[in-house]
Amino acid sequence: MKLSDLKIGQKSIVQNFSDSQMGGKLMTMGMLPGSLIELVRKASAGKTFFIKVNGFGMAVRKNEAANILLEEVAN
Amino acid sequence: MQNFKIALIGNPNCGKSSLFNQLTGLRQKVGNFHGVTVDKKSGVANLTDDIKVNFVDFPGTYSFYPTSIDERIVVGTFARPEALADSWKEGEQYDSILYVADITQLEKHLLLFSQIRELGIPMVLALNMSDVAKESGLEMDVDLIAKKLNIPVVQVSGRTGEGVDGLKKELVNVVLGKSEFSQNQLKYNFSKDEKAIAHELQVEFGLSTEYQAWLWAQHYEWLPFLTAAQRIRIKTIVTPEFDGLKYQVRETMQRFEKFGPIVRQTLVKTKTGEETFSDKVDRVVTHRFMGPVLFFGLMMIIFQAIFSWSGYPMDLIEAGFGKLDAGVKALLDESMFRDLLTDGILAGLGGVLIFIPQIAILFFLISILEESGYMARAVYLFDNSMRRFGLNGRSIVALVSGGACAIPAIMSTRTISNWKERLITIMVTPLISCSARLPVYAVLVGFVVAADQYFGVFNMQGLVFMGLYLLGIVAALGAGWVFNKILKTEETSYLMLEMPVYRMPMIRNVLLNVYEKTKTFVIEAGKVIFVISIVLWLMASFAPGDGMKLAEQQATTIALDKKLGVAATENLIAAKKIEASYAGHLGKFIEPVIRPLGFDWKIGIALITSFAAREVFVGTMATIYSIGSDAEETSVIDRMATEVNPDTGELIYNRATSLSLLIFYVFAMQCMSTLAVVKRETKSWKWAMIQFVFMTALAYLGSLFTYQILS
Repeated sequence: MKLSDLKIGQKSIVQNFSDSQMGGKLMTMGMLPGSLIELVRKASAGKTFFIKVNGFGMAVRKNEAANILLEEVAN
Repeated sequence: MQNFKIALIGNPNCGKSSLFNQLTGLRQKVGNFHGVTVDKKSGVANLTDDIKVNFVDFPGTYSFYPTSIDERIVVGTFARPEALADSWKEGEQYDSILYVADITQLEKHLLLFSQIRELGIPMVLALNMSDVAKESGLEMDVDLIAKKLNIPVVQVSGRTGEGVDGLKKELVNVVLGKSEFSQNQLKYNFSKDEKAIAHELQVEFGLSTEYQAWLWAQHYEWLPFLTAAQRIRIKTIVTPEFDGLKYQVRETMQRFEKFGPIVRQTLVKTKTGEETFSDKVDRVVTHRFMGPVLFFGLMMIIFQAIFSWSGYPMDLIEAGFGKLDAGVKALLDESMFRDLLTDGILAGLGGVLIFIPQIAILFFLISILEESGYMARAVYLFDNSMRRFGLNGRSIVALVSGGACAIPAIMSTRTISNWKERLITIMVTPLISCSARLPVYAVLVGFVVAADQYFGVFNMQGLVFMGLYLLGIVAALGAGWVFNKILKTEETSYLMLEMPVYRMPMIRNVLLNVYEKTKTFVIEAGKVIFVISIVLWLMASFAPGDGMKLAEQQATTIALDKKLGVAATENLIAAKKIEASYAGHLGKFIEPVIRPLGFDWKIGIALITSFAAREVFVGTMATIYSIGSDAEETSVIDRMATEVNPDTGELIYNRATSLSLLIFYVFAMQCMSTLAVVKRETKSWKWAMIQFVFMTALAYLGSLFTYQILS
């Protein structure tokens, strides 16, 4: 599943990135395969995500979140 | 006395600036990095009686794979072969690197550390935020991590100053070559094909490490110091199959695998799982409804504060200049020189210095928002809205700073990696009402509505001010929307922004920032104003031929005819004199163009001089009117309020003209410094000229519309 499919409050683990340029940038900011991710809240009608990566706050756009591949979580 | 140079490097939000301020105190200056216009803060500190160190604060950087112009500085500096030279010289060589990492996010902050470590420059690792670490139950085994990394490590707090003395001792050891550096445990293991390329480049260009050669392979297309011939040579070695991105991912993964275990062995977390203070604050501040409401509330409070806090200090400055003026007049005999000093220079400078309180307060409040971590939340909240206008969430930082001064605001756009979004931000930011417009607004708003007029609980002048600011914002967004439709790009746009934990702003950092920004403003503006005041005084004091004498005779005749009193006669003479002067001629020359906007030739003079810098308006008015009325030395506002059209006897600064003039100042591009910065940042006069033309056109049409409706 993708980060953009996550529901508010859900957590998962990063598996991979479907866009390597974005992946490269996210990795320098500390988001790597294996990192724990939580979707904290959304803004601007769901277009901007406030997430936590290993407990640290980060903001990403919805289309960016769609490139972050996560382990499946049970709904 | 021995001199050394140390680079301060670290990730964004690692608390580097606080530590820099702790180390250097007030002995700082701002310059530019070689060949680029990114601000380079440096400061001097005496570490011992005979060791003096020049610290250079580098922009916060995540890794040697930069995604913005700011981030390029670090790799651009340390990929230079001469960056690794042994001896201290003026220039971009460093004796040592002080790497600053936040203990509370140590793991990710070690990525850049491990890359810099490859270059073999002596380093000290400062583990910053020891105070925050203690509070959040983090315990660091400093000796163990120092042993694991083979490097001197010191735990410090840039906020409390804890550990700074120990850090200084360690830096002394390092620059004197007394620290032990054994093998780099975090060395990157090149794959076979990577190593082949790095090795060939290293040999070809005689570089000191393979890793430095590797940086050339990754970044040769933009590294600023390479020659065209070198680039071509590198290209043949690197080959077209080179997949930089793939290698970057490999390197990053491997590095985290190497230092990750070290961090887990040396850093123990004793508390876990509770909701932090930042989380609680963020539930309100980044709430999708509450957040924006809070943002606009804050902006309103800021602008109210500027006006309510600045009154008293402004009165003091005004009184001070009054005394100075009287003092000079008492001290010197009446002469051309005395007139130049009082009516030219003092009047012009006083008109600017009086607005220091407002500018300082604005910078003060904006610095607090930035220091506390709030600005990142504003970016999160408005990213999507900004994108509709061709901007990026990060543009909000530029737009808000633009309320102080467009120059630092335009410079702050370097964090926007998408060229189109960055360009649009640069183009529209000067439409946000900057502090240089404040003097003009402050002078003119009184002619639009009286100070004691209220609309409900709101002061009417305050509302007009708000309206002018809003107009600037609307114009900026509208222009952004238009540019967004015209400009095309294939480049991807990113948000991906760290949300740092909230921190109480450090008053020392804030005040240093205010001091620096205000100083720059006063010096930059002051230089222009000083020259323009003199030129204006000359232009207003002399006339072609014997125009001055004729004007005086003419005025005297009229006064005799009308049987005017002494004061009225003097005013009439002064008015006729300035009309006859060079300044009057110039103003009259452009009067036909500005007449439809409700402006007379005196305002015309002020508009012309304002194209150098807006704040000159007040100085010009002061010069024009104090020359026009030698008898009394009232303030500019009082003088303008009594200004009448000599032909019709009506007040010049009526509501229509004043509002029209205000609108003109909201829109017009009247700042040479901003144009120069735009030219530098966009690397061409093209965009600076486009900006100048569209803003001036907007100003003319806006004023025309306003005046024609109201009059």
